[in-house]
Amino acid sequence: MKNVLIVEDDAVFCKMLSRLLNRNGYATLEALNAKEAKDMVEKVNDIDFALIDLKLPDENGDRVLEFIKDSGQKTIVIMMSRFETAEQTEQLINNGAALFLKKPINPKTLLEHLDSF
Amino acid sequence: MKLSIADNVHLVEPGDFEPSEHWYPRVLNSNLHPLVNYFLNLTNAQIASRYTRLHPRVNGEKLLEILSYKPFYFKWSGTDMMHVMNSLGQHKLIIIETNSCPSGQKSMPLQNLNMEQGGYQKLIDLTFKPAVLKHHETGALAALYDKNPMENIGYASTIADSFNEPVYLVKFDQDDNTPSAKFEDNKLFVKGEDEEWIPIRAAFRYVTQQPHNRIPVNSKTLLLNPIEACLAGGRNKSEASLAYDIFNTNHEPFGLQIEKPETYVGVSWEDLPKYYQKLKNSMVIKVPEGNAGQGVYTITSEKEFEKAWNELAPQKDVANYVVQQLIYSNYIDGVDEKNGFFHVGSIPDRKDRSYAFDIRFMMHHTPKGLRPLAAYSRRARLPLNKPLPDGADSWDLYGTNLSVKEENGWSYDDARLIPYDIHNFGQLGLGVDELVQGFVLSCMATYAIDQHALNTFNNK
Repeated sequence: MKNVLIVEDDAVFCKMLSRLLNRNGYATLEALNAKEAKDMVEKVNDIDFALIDLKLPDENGDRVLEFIKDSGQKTIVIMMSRFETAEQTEQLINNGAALFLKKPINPKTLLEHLDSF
Repeated sequence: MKLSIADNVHLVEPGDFEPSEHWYPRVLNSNLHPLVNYFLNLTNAQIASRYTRLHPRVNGEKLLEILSYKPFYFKWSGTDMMHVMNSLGQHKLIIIETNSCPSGQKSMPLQNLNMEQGGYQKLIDLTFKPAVLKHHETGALAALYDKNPMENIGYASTIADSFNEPVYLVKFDQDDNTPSAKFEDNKLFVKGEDEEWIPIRAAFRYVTQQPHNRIPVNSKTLLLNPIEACLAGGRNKSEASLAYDIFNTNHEPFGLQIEKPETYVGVSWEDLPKYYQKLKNSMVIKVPEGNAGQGVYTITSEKEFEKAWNELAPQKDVANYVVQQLIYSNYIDGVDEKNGFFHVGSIPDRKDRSYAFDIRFMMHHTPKGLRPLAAYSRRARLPLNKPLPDGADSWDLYGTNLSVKEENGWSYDDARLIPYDIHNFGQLGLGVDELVQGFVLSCMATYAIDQHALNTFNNK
């Protein structure tokens, strides 16, 4: 079973995403802010995917992306946001994100993306 | 479902209901106790008839009139009751609180295994939908909430199925500086996918924290429940107590009374010590608009009184409190033999532990009158009949609420939940007659608060 770390400050969104992924065969870890996410990355060393909201209450999501990349884990990182510019997207991809998903997230589309990796 | 179409807004679509997401797993996999099922199948006429056998002074016709009542504001309610005993050995249920955004669906086993959405569907199809269909306002449908996502996503997806249209699920927190819901000219609007404001014709409303700060009276958007139900007692313990007193005065000739602990309202911070003495050094202090066990202090010692007194001091100039007689853990010599109460408690387990528990009824208005929708109990953390361990306080003995306020929101200590299933109901020692009494008490409380709301708001 593949592990997915969800980093999202909207607790309901986080829970809904988690349940969606559980129902489709993924194990999930939930973090409501960047600090929790970093703690999990330090403790769990086989995170296959990370779904990270760009706007987090304590730090921007790109700092979590950076932290994961620096940790040496081979996690596939998918960034999420409702607001993005082409420049921002390019920057995130250059920094190691595999994909940028614009909110709202369609569950079917998300699952197709995860299956495609 | 479209997740996160705006900050704290999700679009729930028909077909999104997933039973495993809207019940506690231990409840989803349980069977309703046959005795509870038997009770739920009694008609209101049967219940009224039985109640008059148990209370011979009651006027049965008047009681049936109350059970058949159609609330104007308070169409969906919850009550918390306690099973108490006096020193004469007379036991009864008394009401502790009435709630205008009650939780309960996730704790109620399915009554009909073929009805997958259970009580969610009953509430939406029999109470919400008929009201919406008669309401002449335009716009979309929404579910507003600030707690309890497990049930509120369930309600939103049931509404989506029932109306066959998408429902905006919106978190409406009191401390959100840029909320995704607003009332303009008393009509509700919620943020859409492109940051536009979507008008809402009807909304399911589960907003519990100071809801009157952001929801107006006379809402043009149909709300279940409207804020008037909260202000008249559904979320204000002082007003509820007043509503019960008015009911009791008006219904004394019919033998009908809302039983409650001895209650004092409008008590100032300065006067709290007088009540501590008057009630013989034990009492309950409640912040009138407190919720989910927050702002409730059980006092059994000088130390606990001082702690509460100090915690309440910062609001001393602006707040008044509700003070109630404490329901004792065990029989105490010298208490009023008729009106001094102690907990009956749960049936002792094999370690001889008996716990204080409450009884929660969720009710709704239907074409058949007020009907029970869900019922469950919650027990306190520590047993009544054992010495308190070091460091524990009386809340551990008396507090039954499962809500736990955490840094990132609310969680639930569901290990103390007692669902009314085959496995658990028996440990409460309740029978059909207690359920009948609980239902009647709940109907009277709902009626009293709705009448109080009508008298308060329709005269202005």
